[in-house]
Amino acid sequence: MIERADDDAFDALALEVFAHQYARNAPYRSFCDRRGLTPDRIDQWRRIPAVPTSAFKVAELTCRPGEPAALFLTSGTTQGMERRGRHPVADLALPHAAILSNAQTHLFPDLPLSEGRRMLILSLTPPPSERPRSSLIHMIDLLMRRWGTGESRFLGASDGLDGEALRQSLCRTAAGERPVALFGTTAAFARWFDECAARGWREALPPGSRVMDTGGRKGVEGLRPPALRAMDHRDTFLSSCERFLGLPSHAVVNEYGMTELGSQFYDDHFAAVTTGKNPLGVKIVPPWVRVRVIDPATGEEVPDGAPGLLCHYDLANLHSVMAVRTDDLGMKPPGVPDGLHLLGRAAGSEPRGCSLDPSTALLTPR
Amino acid sequence: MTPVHQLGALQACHLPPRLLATRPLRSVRSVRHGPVVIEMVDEEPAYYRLLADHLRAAHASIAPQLTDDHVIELLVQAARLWRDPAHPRRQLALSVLPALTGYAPAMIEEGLDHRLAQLTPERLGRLAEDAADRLADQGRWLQGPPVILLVVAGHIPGLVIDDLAAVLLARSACVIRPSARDPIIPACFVRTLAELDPRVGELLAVAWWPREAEAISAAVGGAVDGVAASGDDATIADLARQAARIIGYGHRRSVALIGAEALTDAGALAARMARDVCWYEQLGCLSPHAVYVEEGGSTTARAFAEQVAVALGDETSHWPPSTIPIEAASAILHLRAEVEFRHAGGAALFTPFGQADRLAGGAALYDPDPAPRPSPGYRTLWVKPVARLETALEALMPWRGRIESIGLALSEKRLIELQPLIDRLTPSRQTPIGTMQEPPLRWRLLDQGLLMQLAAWTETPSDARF
Repeated sequence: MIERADDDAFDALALEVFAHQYARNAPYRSFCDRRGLTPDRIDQWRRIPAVPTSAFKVAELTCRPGEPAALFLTSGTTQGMERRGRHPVADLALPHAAILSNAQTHLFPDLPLSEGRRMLILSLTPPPSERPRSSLIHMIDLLMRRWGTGESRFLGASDGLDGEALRQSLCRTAAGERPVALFGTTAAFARWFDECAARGWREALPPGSRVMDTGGRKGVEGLRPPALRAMDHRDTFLSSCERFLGLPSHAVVNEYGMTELGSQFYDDHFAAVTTGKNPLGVKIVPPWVRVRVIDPATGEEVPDGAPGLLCHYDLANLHSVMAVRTDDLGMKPPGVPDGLHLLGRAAGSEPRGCSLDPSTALLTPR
Repeated sequence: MTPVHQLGALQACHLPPRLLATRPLRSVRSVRHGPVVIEMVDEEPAYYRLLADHLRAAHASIAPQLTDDHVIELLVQAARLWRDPAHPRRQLALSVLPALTGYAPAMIEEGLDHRLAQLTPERLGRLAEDAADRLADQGRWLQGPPVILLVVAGHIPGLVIDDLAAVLLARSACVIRPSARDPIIPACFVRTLAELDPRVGELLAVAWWPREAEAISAAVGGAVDGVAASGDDATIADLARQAARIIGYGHRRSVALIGAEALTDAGALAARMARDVCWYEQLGCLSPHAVYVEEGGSTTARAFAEQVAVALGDETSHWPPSTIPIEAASAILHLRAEVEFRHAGGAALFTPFGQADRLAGGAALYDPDPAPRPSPGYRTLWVKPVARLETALEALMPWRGRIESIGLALSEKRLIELQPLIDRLTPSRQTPIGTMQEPPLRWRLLDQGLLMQLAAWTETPSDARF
């Protein structure tokens, strides 16, 4: 793994990876050719052409056509019945290294892999056997195998979360004073908190317990208003974690990841507090990833502190496409080179004929 | 014209002078929108109820005095004033609206002039006669309810002029809630009308309040006899909850059809198509999202898509493109990439300047799949080849009832053949390509039905005629 500050090393690797992908990934090569951006004409990573995530829905973006080691599919739930994106991963070694290194830093800073210490991990998601194409569940399964005790398990199922089983597990955990790591989508937690409120459940998890939530607005269908509030307002979500699980806010780590990327981004606060540092209140870009925040109208990078669309350059995507342009809105905090603020999603809906909401149009400076 | 940043605060409201004399405004709200500062009414819900009461009383005394001929003459005089390039209110509107809407100045000016050109004695007279005839068949008179609320969308600057023509021909009193994107033309045009006939100034009010101000919306909605609203479906659903009667012009789209026989001068046709696409940045319901091109003519659909892209580029010098909001820009980028990556299936992306990642100028998305897809707007047009236009009209059936207008380039013979299939889609308008954004006033008032609907709201038609 390369060091964060080593831009030259990143640049060299990125250009090498780009040459590799240009040579072996035919759809990507066509994309680059149409822009006249070929390896011989590019001398730094910022100019490597980035494919929008929508390309994963219509093209097989791989350097090794044939049976991949894993094929991950996007959930396809955020915009209804649209086609699902496909990310074939030819070799899992690099993505796994990225997952483990990142998780070591941000989720398990107190459990060095070298020491072999483990903790109870409970996942609110279904198991990999039920969702073999989910990159999130694949990641959680990997984390469970590396850091989880034998009792660790998946409590979700296709028809929802086994709330009673989760509650009993948490009761035992609380009684035994062993910390627990809870993983799941933000929506699943919000739904669980809704159930806790309805049934009057609450636990005080032992110190050292933690939550990793992810997923933005995926899975919000059918959520009742209190749960939706927890989804939409981070403070409400954190309050629910404190109220129903007894967890301080620094022990709740939001992960930002996507099917199309091998790497993830985590809130910095759990690792910072655990290791006695001051949290910066940002998501951390791993050393093997770079992010450009771009103005979509021009494709140019915006200054630090200005919002734009996130464009990721992830070396863990060795055999697919390293440079991926998302419709996630974000911002680079000034003065924090490896920091990132996630601002939401540029929904990109069709303009409504004769429609823009007049009140919002007025209040939004152009 | 005065530079927009030197204009100072602009009043975007009009209240009946007699109401103001008895109950002056307690406060106004100043809102900055880019370089423009706009002053709007800032009152409690009770004030709006008072306003509606005033309009109702004014209607009872003034509306019976207004003949059709007088209303027509009033509209014609107002339009004549506004068509003068030196008219101060026109100049004010044209100086402010580019900043408020993002549209090119020439685009706004041409759109405004098109609307004003509709207000001639001949056109208005014929329109009033036709409306009266149609209503007579229903046992009704050309006359609306006493007080209505008119909610105007902001994508089409000056659309309020059409609506005001309907309101005045129906001799209703009216509260106009303008869009924040175009609060100037409603206030200024109403002031012109009020100066020409102070009685009319007592029948009209222009006041903006935020959508979140539900108490005001409820107060106004409950005090008027009906609401006519253009806007997104959510806005109209909100208003429908608050008003007894509503005419809602919600979210609709337009498409275009080109017969093989019409491709003899494809370059000129592409230029006309591009003009329809660029006008109002595809944000209005008359904007085409897709054009279906019949193969077998002297130009292929694919070549036509290329020509449209070139024509879109040509339009940028006449109508420089708006700044694209980040959400739309993101959607456009993703759609372009999707089309690019589907090139094996025959799809192709054509951009005016050959730069796939620069959005300014727009794009033609050539796509052999006939299934319609909405455009993200901002000069992005689907170009779909079909062996026969019948295929296109069949493919469009999922959009049935949501298509506002169909632009056509067809021989008369083909049109007759296709008309039954076109009718199944229930568009409110069909028109030659190149005129999609220039509907006649009678379309808004009669075919879309604003004037007819206002007349239908009159409670007791046979007794209520003035």
